[in-house]
Amino acid sequence: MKGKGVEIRIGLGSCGIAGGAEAVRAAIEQEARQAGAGAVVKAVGCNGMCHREPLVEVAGSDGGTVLYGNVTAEAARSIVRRHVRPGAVQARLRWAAERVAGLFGNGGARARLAGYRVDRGSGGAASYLGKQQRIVLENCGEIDPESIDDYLAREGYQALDKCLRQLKPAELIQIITDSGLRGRGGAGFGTGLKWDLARRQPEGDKYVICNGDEGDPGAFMDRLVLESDPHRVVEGLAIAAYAIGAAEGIFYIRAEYPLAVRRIREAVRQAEERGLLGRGIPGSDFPLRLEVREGAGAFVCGEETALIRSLEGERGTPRLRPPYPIQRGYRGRPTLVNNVETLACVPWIVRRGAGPFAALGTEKSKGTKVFALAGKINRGGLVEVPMGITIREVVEDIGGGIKDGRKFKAVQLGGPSGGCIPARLAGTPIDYEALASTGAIMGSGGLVVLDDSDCMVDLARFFLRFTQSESCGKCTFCRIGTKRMLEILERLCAGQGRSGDLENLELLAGHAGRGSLCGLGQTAPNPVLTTLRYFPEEYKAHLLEKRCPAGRCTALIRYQVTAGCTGCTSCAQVCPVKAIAYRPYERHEIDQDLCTRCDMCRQACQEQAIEVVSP
Amino acid sequence: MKSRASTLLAAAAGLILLFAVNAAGQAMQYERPVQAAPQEEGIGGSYKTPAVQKPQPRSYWLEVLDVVLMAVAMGISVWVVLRRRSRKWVLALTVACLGYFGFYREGCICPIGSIQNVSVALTDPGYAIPIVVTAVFFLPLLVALFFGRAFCGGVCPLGALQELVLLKPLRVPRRLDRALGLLRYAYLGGAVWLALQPFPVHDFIICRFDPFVGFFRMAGFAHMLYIGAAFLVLGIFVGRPYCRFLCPYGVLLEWVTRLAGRGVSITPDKELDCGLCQESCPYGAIEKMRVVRPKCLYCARCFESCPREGPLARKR
Amino acid sequence: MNQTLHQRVRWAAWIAAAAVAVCVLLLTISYAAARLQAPRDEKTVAELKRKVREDASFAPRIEAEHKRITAALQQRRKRDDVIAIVLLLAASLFVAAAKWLAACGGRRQLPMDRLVQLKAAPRQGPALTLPAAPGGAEEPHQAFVERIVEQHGRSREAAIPILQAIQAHYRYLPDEALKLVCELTEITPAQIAGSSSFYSQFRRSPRGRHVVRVCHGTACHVAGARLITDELRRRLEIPGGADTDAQRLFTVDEVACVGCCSLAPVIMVDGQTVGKLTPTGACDALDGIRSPSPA
Repeated sequence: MKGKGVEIRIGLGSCGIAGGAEAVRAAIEQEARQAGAGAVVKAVGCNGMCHREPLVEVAGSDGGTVLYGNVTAEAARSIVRRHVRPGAVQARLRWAAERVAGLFGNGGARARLAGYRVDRGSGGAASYLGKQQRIVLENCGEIDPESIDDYLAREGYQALDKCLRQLKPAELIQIITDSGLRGRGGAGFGTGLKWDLARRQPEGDKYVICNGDEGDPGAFMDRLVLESDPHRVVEGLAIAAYAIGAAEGIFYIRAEYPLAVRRIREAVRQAEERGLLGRGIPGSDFPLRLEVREGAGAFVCGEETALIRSLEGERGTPRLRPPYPIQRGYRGRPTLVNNVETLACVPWIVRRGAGPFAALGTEKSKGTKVFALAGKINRGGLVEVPMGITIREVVEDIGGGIKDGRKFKAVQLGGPSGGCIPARLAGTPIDYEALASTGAIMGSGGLVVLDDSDCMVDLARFFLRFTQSESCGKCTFCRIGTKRMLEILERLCAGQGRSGDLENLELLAGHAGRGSLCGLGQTAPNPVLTTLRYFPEEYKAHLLEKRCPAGRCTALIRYQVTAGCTGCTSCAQVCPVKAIAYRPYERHEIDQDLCTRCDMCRQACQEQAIEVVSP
Repeated sequence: MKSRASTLLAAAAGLILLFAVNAAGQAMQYERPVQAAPQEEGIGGSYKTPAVQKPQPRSYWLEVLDVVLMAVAMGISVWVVLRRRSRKWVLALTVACLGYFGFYREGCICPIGSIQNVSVALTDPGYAIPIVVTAVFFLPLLVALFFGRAFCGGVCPLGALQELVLLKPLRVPRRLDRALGLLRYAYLGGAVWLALQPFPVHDFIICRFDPFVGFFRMAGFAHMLYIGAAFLVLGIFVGRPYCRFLCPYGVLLEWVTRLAGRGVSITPDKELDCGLCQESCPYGAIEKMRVVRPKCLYCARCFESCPREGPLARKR
Repeated sequence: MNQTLHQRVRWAAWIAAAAVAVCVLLLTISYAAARLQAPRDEKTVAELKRKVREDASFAPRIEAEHKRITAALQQRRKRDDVIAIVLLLAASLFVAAAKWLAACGGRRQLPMDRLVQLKAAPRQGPALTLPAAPGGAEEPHQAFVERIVEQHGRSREAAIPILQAIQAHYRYLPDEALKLVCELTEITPAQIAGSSSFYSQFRRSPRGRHVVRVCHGTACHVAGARLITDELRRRLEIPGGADTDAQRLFTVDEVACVGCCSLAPVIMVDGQTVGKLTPTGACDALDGIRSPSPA
């Protein structure tokens, strides 16, 4: 495919930028400028294939697209030359001359494009994309998130238009209820029901809040949707506001996502400018005003009541429910809080009707769910799968199995509120109830895959340290119970466990879960309880034998050079404490007294001649 | 350590300067007595001009054989370096080629000198260039087009001589290396220009100032012998000074090598990133753990230095 | 046995070197002698030639003189050839012996810092280009805080946006500015104390010129974020308990998740994210920033 009117899309989400997409953009723009007319360069969001960032897609005027992954600046130039027929005569001459000159230049200068090509129809990309069903992500990576025209060209704001012109709020809520959409933030409360409750509240000021305080470590779907398709969320929020009769909507977005904040602000500005929001909407009395607020970095603010407190300028501590925010929320008025992903589903459902959405998924969990697939997996990224698919399918088919050929041990689902599901239960379908029965939760959708080098005790400690430091301190069991649990886990990881520790851990976990007001405290023990339930032998190894089977806990391991050492000195060169003497062509030795177990030598060793032993 | 290196480098620079001054001086004074001397017919009688040419002309077929041998040697060089990756074999080839092309054929299968013949032949239709010389000129370039500078590794007797004396290589700072490398271009340009000049100025300086040919022939001007000896002494510490800083044919090979599809590579599939090969290369031809092929002289030291070929790996 | 062999080779090398020196000396002497002799011979011949012109009986003497010169020349050639061959042999012996000794003496032991220096050039990863750190106090506190308050309102609700704006400007929350906020708005000191200590975004103490946020999300944790933090702290010589290095150049923070889990482990330097790091790679990324001199 080559020709004029080619559109070159560069994935410029946060992760793309982190992968070097800015350099790629600069290269492409320079090349395209040289070409004169003939190419449109467009910065788009991320299409979810984070393992191949930076991504560049070329769309021809005939509608066909070619996708390139892991693009370098050098490759980007070649891509432009491959696909664009330059409009300017000088450019044509110059490129032809450079092609000839390229023959005499260094052979490597002309990057071979075949290696960058991502073929959607076969191989890894096909299995990555094949099982996915894109509703929330349908536009991600294909439109320019900073251009409202792009979104409008993809049936954007038609759902809002349909609502305002054809649907009464009650009818709209009926559609949402029929679709079976449930809150995607974790708990899975029926969205239609929630909206209906909010609508039935007495007239007066009402608020809708989009909860973009995605604090779960390991989850980033909200960020990606906000960055790649902000208008969809704006539209979803507007529809929700219309449904419940709210005149004010607030986006509450983490300050750690500066790009998402910027793009949502821009989207709101554009929508208002076009008269799609606010008082400008012709023929309707729907004066919606949207505001964007930044979260200040507290995990607990993902909880509705804490979020509202935070919006009011106070410490973000949850409060007793009822009254629910639906009844008395922000400024004491009925307030609807919905997650980003939930709102992003709404325009699609309104446009297509409840049927197609309800057709997907299981009996009680409908539609699709976006997961942030990360960890020890070959193809990580954002995947949107229909409910009911099994965890194994996600890990092995979509994710391409475990990195470096290691063994699949478990998945961690739902972040600090969720739990670990061991490989033997990988047949569990993705479904709110089925996941809850394993002790984990659906959560917001972080799915971190673990292999046999990950220590479950260490992981439990990690999450507990997180919840402990994020606990707002209001409830005693959450404040002190998690602290005591963390102390026990720290002891176990240091090889100083005492008898009775495991029993105490379980006891404390039970109390902390029951004695807390909000989701944070109630679910904080989940990582501990699930690992205790599924991997008791690891806890016992730490407690009784003082060893870490996975070789993670630094106090319980030793680094050792095996007979595979060729004396290449790579390890000696990276050792920060000079615990390895520089002796080329001799088998290296690690001075155990100096060694800080920083793992750098093992990572540097290409011979895999450094092993971790846990005596 | 550092001061010693700089002393040696100063010595190298001085040597090259000396070489240049000497060459310039010689080029001024030199006159061809043969043209001015009485010719056979002028003398009359039964006078025969004594044979003075060195080396003696050989039969045509023996010369063709030399070309064939050179091609074979380059083939071996390619095979030994790219396939066997063996320094020992390269050394054997080096010694063999030094013996044959150097001492036996007295350094006269020389693509370096043939630059001049070819350039004269290109401009002067009256100049008859033997097909053998043309072949000698183009063969190494042809090989370089596909595999890089296989000729330099082991086959070229000048290179082989320096290769063998290299005992304790010092690293030449990259900037100095590049600056000295520019001398080759000047030398190449000067040689071609002089070769193309009409008579009194006309000269084949590459052959006249070949520093090592005197050793091969065990005869020559004393100053050339001394300069050659100095190059060899310098060559103990600096890898192949003549090849890297003066050889005009190296320039051509370098250009052609840029087009080569294959060549020495630090195998990307199994490299260690330990940098020992980079340390082992006396010619600075490995930068950032990658071979700079135009500078690679096919000595296979990098392969030998790889810990994966080292004593520990072999024991396994 | 090995020892004696070693000794012998060493002797051989010395002898060969001596032989080389002697041969070079002999050749030089021979050359010098010939050079000295040549003009004298020429003179003799010229003298004889002059005499022949006067007296033909000198002709055989010229003949004899020519013969003598030729013979001497040939003799010198022969002698020099022998010396040259000896020289070549001795030189090859020396080179061979020296190489053998070098090989026996083990591989060269290189100073390690040289190798490390070689590797120091950052290998891959996007280069970090940073905007100049915001200046700080060009604008007086009073005017700035007034502007901020004007923008966000005077209610208690505006507390967090106001604090965020102050933090964005000063990079921390200076007490003077906070006092002004309390004077200008309904926000109480207690509320400010509460909020600024509750939210992890806020800092009450100044921080380094660059803020390095090491992501400690789940994916980064399993990918080794702890090692990166440790290595950064070690490299920047940040003492335990502190988070900023002595030159106030870098502040190293651990943050929950920056949402780039597929690129784990990730660090964020002043808003720019760098992913797929190793501990060394993280330090290299910082070195790129550090090189402009720390003022």
